Amino acid sequence: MNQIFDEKTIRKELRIDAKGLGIPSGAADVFIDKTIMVAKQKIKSKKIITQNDLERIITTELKKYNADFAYVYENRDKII
Amino acid sequence: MSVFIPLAVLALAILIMTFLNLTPGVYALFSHYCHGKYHKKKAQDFSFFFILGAEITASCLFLSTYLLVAIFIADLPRIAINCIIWILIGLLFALALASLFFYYRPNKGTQLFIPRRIANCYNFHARNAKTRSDAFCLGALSGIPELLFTLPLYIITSGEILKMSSTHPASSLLTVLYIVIPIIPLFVTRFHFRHGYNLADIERSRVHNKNFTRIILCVSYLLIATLITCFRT
Repeated sequence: MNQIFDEKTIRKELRIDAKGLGIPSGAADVFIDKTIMVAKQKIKSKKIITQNDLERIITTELKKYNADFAYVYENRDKII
Repeated sequence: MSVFIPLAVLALAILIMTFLNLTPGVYALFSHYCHGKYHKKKAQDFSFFFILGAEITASCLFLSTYLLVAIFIADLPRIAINCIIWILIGLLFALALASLFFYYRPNKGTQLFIPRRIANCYNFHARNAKTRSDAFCLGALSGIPELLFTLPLYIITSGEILKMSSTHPASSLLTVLYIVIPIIPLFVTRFHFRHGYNLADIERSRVHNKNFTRIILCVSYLLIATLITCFRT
């Protein structure tokens, strides 16, 4: 689990995306904290988790706060 | 008639160049990450160098093709030129089909035909560009995988401009137009970023216009192929 859930990297990527989207840094930090907290809780209950599962959890959670943020995170590998 | 056919071919080629999606896609991604990592002035500076790189590659490729066509192909006997023209026509028909069926991968986003390893490489470098030279190199290399779609157009337009310039010398200035036009999508993307649009908006519009792009590319390639078949063989 430690190999794929690198909280620091995910947090950093999400911060860059949030700033790129023009989300104020305070609000972005709140969204990211809440998202990561929920992701951690969901991961805890599972024995095995894939990268796709993790991305799906983060996307679903981000959708609650900001649709653009979730969309960019979901499609970041599908743009080119 | 002698001027209208080359102009029509040139206009269609320019239309295709503005609808090709790889360089604007890489630029949108690059611009998003730059705005996410650096302050506004630095991000704009990097954007400028990306566009400069793309422009220099486009102009080098077109001018070198123009030169090669002028030196090697223009003086060939009529039979050899006809042979090359038929090969190009075949290629254009193939590209029309390819742009309809293979230009975009069949999934949700706007993934292009390029190998995934190259796309991941662009993604990585767009995300990790730290200096102006990184931005410049990324811009310069972003158009290379699309050469499959652009090189036949470069050859055909070079031939048409050469043919036109023998009767109308001023028409060689069209090369400038052909060099400048391919970076217009980058300026449009830049304009969008500067006026409050973000990557999500741009990507949504690209997904929305995916089929339209496919059709425009296919029809343009078919029209060029038809024009060349009817008037140049």
